[in-house]
Amino acid sequence: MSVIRSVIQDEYERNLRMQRAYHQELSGLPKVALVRKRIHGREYYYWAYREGNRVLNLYVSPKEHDLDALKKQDERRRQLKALLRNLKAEQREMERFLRISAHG
Amino acid sequence: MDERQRAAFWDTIRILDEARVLPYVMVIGSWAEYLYSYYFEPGFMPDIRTRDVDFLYPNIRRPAPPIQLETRMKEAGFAVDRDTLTDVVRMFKEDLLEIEFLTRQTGAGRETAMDIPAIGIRGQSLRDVNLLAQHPLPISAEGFCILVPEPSIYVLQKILIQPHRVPASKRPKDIESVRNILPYVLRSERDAERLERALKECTKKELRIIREVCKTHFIPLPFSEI
Repeated sequence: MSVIRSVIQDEYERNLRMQRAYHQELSGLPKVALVRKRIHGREYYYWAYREGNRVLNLYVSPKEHDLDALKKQDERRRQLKALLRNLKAEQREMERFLRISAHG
Repeated sequence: MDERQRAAFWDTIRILDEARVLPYVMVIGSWAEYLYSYYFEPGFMPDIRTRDVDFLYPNIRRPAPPIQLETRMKEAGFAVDRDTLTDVVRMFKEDLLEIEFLTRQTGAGRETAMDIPAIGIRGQSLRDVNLLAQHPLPISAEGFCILVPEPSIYVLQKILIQPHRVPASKRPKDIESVRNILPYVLRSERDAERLERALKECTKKELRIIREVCKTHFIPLPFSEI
């Protein structure tokens, strides 16, 4: 049990370091989601964000923004959010194990 | 092992190879045990692996000219974390791996971090890794030539550091590693001979530590020195 516990403890600390690094990277990316809409056969991009109960869409002009860069940033933002979700779930599991093994 | 984790490991090796850094680093820690499965006879099962991949950098001046590894790793999708107190850099590949570069601590200094100018990264410096750095073994795996410590020296080092291993919670895992690898070392004529030679070079104090650790944990070391 002590071997497993030490490995989990190690992984737990690593998990927290990973979350810190990904939160830091996420803070440098746009906070809102980039959504694509097809209207009359043409593609338009919008920033989608919530204000109270309403979801608002703000048009992103390709003349004013580098759409390719924004798409890459949005993709990375989604990746990081998914990673953080997994890490958070894993953190809870490990905390539960460490709590139980401390009493056992 | 998680197939994604294994793929991430080989992806990291490929990046280091492309950056011309691979010949200058040695894989140590639990991932060295994974690489021993390419070296030992069939049947060797590596022990529990954690997500941290430790690369030992024995010569911090090679390669020359220096390479900006951090930039390359970021371009390859790694996230970089810098310790606020020591500036030690750790790199993460998704939620699969944590990459760390370690250096040898030399002299009387107590610095726990040291710059590695060849790759533009500050790494953790450890005194206990000197023995590993002195005994590299090139392993051919998946089309790469990767340096790992000689298995006999890996085992010996784990025994030698056992009494002062920090954190102490890692000691049982080290003993498990010794128990897993030692039978394969003793079965191989070459590795057994290397272990015997290393034991002959040990000081009296080191031999005493080895004897005590082996006695406490019932580890059989069939050599006249022990």
